[in-house]
Amino acid sequence: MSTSALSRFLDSDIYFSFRRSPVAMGATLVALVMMLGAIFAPWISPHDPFDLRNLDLNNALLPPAWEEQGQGSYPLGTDDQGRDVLSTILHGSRISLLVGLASVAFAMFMGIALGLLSGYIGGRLDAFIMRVADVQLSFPAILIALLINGVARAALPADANMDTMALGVLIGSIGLANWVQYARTVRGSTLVEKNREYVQAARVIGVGPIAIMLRHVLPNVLGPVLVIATINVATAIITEATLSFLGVGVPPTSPSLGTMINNGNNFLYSGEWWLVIFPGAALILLCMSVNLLGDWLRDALNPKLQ
Amino acid sequence: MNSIQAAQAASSAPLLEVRNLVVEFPTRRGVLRALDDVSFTISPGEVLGVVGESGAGKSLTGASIIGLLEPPGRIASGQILLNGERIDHLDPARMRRIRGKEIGAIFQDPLTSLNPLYTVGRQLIETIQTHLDLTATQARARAVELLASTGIPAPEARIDHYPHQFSGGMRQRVVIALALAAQPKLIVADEPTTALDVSIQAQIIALLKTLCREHGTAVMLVTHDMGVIAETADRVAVMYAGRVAEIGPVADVIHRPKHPYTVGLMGSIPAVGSTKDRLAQIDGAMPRLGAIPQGCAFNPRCPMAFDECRSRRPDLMPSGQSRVACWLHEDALTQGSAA
Amino acid sequence: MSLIDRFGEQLERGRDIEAAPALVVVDDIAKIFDVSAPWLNRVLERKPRSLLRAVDGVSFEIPQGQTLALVGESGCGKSTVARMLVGLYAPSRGRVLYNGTDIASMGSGSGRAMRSQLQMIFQDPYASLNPRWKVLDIIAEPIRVHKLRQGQAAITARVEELLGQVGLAAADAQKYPHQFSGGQRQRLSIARALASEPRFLVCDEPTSALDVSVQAQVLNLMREIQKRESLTYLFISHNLAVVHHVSDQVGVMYLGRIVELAPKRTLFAMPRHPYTRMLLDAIPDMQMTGKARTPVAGEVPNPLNPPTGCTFHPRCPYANERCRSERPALMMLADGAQVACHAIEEGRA
Repeated sequence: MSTSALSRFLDSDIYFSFRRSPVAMGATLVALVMMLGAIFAPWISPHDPFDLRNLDLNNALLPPAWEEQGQGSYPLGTDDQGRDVLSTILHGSRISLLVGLASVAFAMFMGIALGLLSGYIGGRLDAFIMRVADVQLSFPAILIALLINGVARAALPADANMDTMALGVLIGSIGLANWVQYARTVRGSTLVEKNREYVQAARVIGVGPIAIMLRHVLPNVLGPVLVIATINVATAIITEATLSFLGVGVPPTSPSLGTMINNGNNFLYSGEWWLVIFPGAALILLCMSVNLLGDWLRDALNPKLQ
Repeated sequence: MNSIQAAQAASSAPLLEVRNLVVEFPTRRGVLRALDDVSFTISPGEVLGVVGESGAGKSLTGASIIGLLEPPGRIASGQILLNGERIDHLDPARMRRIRGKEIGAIFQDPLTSLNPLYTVGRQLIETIQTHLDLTATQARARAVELLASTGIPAPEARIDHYPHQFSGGMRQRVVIALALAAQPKLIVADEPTTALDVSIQAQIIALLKTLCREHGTAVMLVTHDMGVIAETADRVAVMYAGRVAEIGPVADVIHRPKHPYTVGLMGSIPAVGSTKDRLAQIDGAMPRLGAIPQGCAFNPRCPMAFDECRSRRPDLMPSGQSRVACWLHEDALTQGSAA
Repeated sequence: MSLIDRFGEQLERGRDIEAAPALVVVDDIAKIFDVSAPWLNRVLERKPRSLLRAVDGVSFEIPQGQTLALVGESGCGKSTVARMLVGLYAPSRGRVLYNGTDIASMGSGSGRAMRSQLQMIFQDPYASLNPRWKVLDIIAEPIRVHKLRQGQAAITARVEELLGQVGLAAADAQKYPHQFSGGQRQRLSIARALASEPRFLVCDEPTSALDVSVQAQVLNLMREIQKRESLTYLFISHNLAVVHHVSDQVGVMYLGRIVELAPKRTLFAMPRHPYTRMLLDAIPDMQMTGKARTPVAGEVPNPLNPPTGCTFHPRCPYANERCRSERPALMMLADGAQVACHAIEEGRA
C-alpha cells in the first residue's frame, strides 16, 4: 500500500467528495483566482494606483469601459482622484487578504495554545481562561477591535512607521477579538482526547505533558479548527472592511476594499455607481467563496453526513 | 425443548423463513456483499441462536428481518417470509404494522433503546395502543402487568419513571417488556446481554427464556457469546463471512461441531476446569468484505482444506441432525431430519 | 488422567507453594474522587459534598513471574486499581511498592528509570493507539523516551524486532493503526508495552473487546511472552473463564474492596465468599448439564451511596446484623485463601 501523502490524499474520501461537489470546486476556483490576483497585484494591475505622478485629474470619474465616456485603459472606470478602479481593487484585495489571513493566523495560534492548556491542565487555569473568554464573548467583535485599535493608537508614538504599525495593530485587534472560538473548540476536543487511552499510554510511558499536548493531542483536535479558520477568514475580511469603513482601519494611503466602499458611498447618488459597486462585488465574491469552501470542508469532515 | 417437541416444531410450518438472502452495500469501490446466500427457518416457539464473530453478518441478518437495514445497504435478492408471506420488500407503512405486532426487537444498548424524554409507562402504552385495540385504562393495566412479569418491583409506581431512573439491568427488562407488549410471534434480540454485568446477564437470559416459553414466542438470538447460546437456544446457526457455516441442534453444534471453523471456535473458548496451558487458536482473521476468498470462505485458515474447497463454494449439506457448509461432509450418510 | 498430566499438575502445584519474592506489593490503597457539585451549587442548593470511594482499602502481593487476576463487575474499582499501579492516579491513601520502592517517586529523577519497568495494556484497541501516528513512531516512543537505543537505524531495527515478537511483519511499521484489525491492534499495544523492556505489565481487560478466536490468539501470545521474558502480570477482567485460563492468583473485588483473594485452583474449586459463589454460578453452563441455577438477586448498588458495613449485605443470603454494621476484614484461611466475610468467620456459610 502506497503511503506517500499525496497519493493518500488523492485516494481519500475528502478528495472524492470534493470532486463530486460543483459548489466546492467553483468556490475554490473563484477564491483561487481572487487570491492570485491579489498576490500578484503589483505585476498584473494595468496601473499603479499609488503612484502620484501617474494620476491625472483629467481622468477623474471616468465610467467603466463599456459605457459612453469610458476609456479602454480604465476597464472599470476611475475614482475622484483619477485612480483606476480595477487596479485599486486588486491592491485593495491584497490588503484585505493580508489582514484577513494574518489576523486569523494570530487568533488561531493564540486560541489553540490557550485551548490546549485550558483543556489539558484543567483546574484553576482552565476556570480563569474560560472566564476571560466568557467576558470577552459578551462584547461584539467590532467593539473589541475598535477598543484595542483606539488604545493602541493613543499609546504608540506617531512616527514614520505609522503605516506598518497601523496594519499591525489592526491585525492584532481583529485577532484578539476572535481567539475565543478557537480556544473553546480546542478545549472541548482536548477534554475528550485527554481521557483517551492513547494519551494515558503516553503518560504511562513517561512522556512529559508539553510533549503530549503538542505531539499527541494537537494533531487530533485540529480538524474542526481548520473549518472554523476558513469561515473566519471571511468574517475577518469583513471586520476589516467595516473598521476601514468607519475610518479606523487601514491607513488611508493603502486603501483596502472597505476604504474604497467608504469613499465610493459618497458618489453613489450622484451617479458614479462604479466606485462602490465594483469594490462591493469583489468583497462579496471573496467572502462568499471562502465561506462556501468552509461549508464544504465542514460537511466533508463530518463522518455522520457521509 | 426435548426431541418430541423439536420434531413437532420441525413438522409444523415454519414461522420465519429466510431463503437465499443476499444483502449488498454499494460503495465507490464496488459492490460489497455483506450477506451471501443465507437461508434458515425458525419454527413457532423455538429459540434460534445466530452466532458469529464481528463482521460475520449476524446483526445484518437481524436488521434485514426487522426491516431496519440502513441505506445504502439493500436486500439484493432472496426472500424473507413470515407465516408464508413475504416481508422483505414491503412499503414502510405495512412494515411498521408488522414491526411490533408480529416481530419485536431487543437491541444491545438499553440506554439508547428507550426514549429518555418519555416515561417508561408512556412508551409502553403507546406501543400497546398502536397494535392492540384497548382503552387507555386497559392499556395502562396491561403495561403494569408486563412490567411485573419482567420482574420489576413496584411496577405501579415505576411505570411513571423515566429511563434514567432505572439501572442497566432494569432498563433491559423494560425493553423486553416493550418488545413483548403487542404479543409478537417472533422476537429478534441482538446482543441483549452484552452490555450488562455478568450476574445481570444470567438474570436477563433466564427471564427471556421464561417469558418466551410462556407466550410461545419464537426468538432469534444474535450474539457472539456461545455461553448464552448454550443456555438458551434450541438450535444454533454459526455464521462466517456473511454465510452460514453450520446450523443444527445446539447440543450437536457445541459438543460435536462439524465445520472446522466451529471446531476452532469451540476450542478457543476458555473453560473453567480445563488445565490446558494454550487455547486452540485459528490463525489469521476473518476476511474483509471486499476480499472474500474463492470457494469456501474459510479455506485459507482451514487446517483440512483441499482443492475442492479453494474452487467451489460448498452449500449447506445434511450431516446428522445438522447441516454443514463443508466439502468434508459431502458424503455424510447418517439419516435424520434436516434441521 | 495420564501420567504426564499428573506430573504437570505436580509441577504447577509446586510452583504455587514455592515462596517467590514479591515484585509488587500493594499496601491498603484507596482512591477517593470528589464528585461534588460546584461550590456555588452546593451553597445555593445546600447539597453536601459527595465522594466516590472507587477503591477503599486494597492490599495484595504479586510474586515475580506470576499473574494476579482481579475480577469483578462494573463499579468494583478494578480499573482504578490498575491505573494506580502504573502511576496514572495517585492513591488517596496507602502505597504501591515495586521492588521495594514506592512508585510515587516515579515522577522525577532516579525514579524515572522505574517507569520503564511498569507498563500497561489497555482495553480498547481502537483508542489506545494515536490514530495520526505511524506504527513505527508509536512503538518507538518508549524507546526514545527512555533512550534505550541511539540513532534512527537502531530504533527502527528494534521496532521491527518487536513487531516480529508479536507476530506482525516488519513492513507493518510504515502503516497507520486504522489499517489493522482489533486483534492486530492489541498486538501493537503489546509491542509498545514491551518496547521499554518492562518487568511488570498491567493488562486492563485486554481481550474484552475482541472476538473469541482473536482472544485466544492474544492470550496465547501474552502467555508466551510472559514465559520467555519472565514477566509479572496484573490481569483485570470480568470474564471468569478467561481469568481461570491466565491467572495464578485471583482477587475478587466488589465495590472497591477485595472480598476474596486465593490461588486460582483453590478459588475455583472452593469459592467461599457468597459473591464469589454467585459469580461462578453466573458463568453460562457450556456443558449444558441442565443444572438448575439460581440467578442472583439484585444489582450492584450505586458506588456513590454504598451500603453500610459489608457492602454486599443487601444481596447476601447470609447477612445478619453484624454484616449490616461492621465491615469485615480480609482473613487468612488454612489453604492460602483470604476472605472478608463475617458468615465465613462465624461458620455460618
